[in-house]
Amino acid sequence: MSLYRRELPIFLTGILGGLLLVQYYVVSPQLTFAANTVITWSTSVFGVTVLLGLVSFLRYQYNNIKKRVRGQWYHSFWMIGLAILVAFTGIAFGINSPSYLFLYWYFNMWLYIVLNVLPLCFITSAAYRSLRMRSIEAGIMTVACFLVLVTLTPIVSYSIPAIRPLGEWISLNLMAGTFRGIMIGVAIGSVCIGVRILLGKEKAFALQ
Amino acid sequence: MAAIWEKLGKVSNLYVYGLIFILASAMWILAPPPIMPARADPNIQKTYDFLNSLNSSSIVVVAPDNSAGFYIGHLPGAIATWEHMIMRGVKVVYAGTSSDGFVMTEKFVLPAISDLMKKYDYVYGRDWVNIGFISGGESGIAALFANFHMKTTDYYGNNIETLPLMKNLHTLRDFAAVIQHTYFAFSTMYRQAYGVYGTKVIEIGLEGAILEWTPDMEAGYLYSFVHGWLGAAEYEKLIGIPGMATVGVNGLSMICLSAIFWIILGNISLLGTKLSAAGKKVEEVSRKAVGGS
Repeated sequence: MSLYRRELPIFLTGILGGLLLVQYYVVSPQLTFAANTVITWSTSVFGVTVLLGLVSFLRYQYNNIKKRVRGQWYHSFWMIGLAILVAFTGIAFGINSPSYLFLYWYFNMWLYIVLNVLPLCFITSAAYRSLRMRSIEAGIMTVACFLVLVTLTPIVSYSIPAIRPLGEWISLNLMAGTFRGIMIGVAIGSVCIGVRILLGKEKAFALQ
Repeated sequence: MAAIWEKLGKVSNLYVYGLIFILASAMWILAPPPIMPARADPNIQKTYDFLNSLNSSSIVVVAPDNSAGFYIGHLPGAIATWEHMIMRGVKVVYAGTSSDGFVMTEKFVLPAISDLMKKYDYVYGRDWVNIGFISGGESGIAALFANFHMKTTDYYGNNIETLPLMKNLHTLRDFAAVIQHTYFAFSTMYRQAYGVYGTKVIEIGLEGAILEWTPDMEAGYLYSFVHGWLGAAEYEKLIGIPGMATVGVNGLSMICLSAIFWIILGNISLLGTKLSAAGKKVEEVSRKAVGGS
């Protein structure tokens, strides 16, 4: 693989990441200015990656149509058409125009909202079928989920005085400690991965 | 008898979904008076006390970093906290990393608070500014907090430099707090707001996020939060403006109660099945013993 496709990205990542790391701990106006400039430039790069994602998406859907992938190619037609329509409407008429907002609402928002509301039924059904005390471990999990659900039910927690202090005690003592352990583990893992990336040991992102 | 216990444990999904639909519809049709608590949750009280301590010289960043699907969960909290800030004269700069949040704000939040804005003479450009979507995720927010004039135009296309509120705002140090609308422990603000500038972070999100936010509060980088419709209803009671959360509390109760009912039913069915099976075994053993003697 050529130098610029593999070594250059790793080198740049180390230099720029190191700059941002040093700037956090060393108080220097020049370092702060350099770091802020890098961060501002990164927002422009992010915009370009969105465009790159759109091009990759269109290429993938076009290949589905070209190869007449069974069960997929007509969906790809629809997706390419919608993508072009929304992009053209936003660019030509502006993102606050009635036509763009119509597309945004009736092709995106309402469907997204419904998709996120439907799991309410699935979760209730899943809770009915899975939260049963078949064993000691399942019993502990069932009791824990039940207590949390009861404390989050307004009519129960407001009507029975003992429920709210119990819920607050569970949150502060049982849940907080458990989550703290998980978060510390995740944070340590993130630091290790970050150090590996800065030192150039983690090369996966550059090998594509 | 055993068959009845087994049937109780295998109720069709049609009845599970049907009960949810019936209870939710009943709350909508009957609209009973909401049942409210005698005292607010300590975290809600802490949020209220903090915003109540601010005045017209304070400025807050509000970041609608949520998606449309989850927005309905923190919509009442977003409205209630902004109403409180309007009443206190607190200035607001709206900026975030989710494009959905701004569309939802235009559609739902601004119409809900427009009357209060007129009542308190809360004017765009002087009292609040909508900078709009910041691309780049955490990098974008970091760049914005370092320089609030990074973008040249606001959400509506106005030049940022012509807005009176933006004249003396440069970095996040000029702000009293960051209020983020999000549906889980979105740690961007912990790192970029509290970590770099020491600015207080207040989260507005779903009920379930309380599980993740409690250790964050214990650690100190999250100041307080308003969790979902439950927290928003208590907040509305504190500010004295009943809104959609107060109305929706009964519906939330019914949904949760239906889930509690099905969990209890499932466990009763399991217990009944086990007792029936144990009873049959005892019967068989005693029959064998009698036949053997």
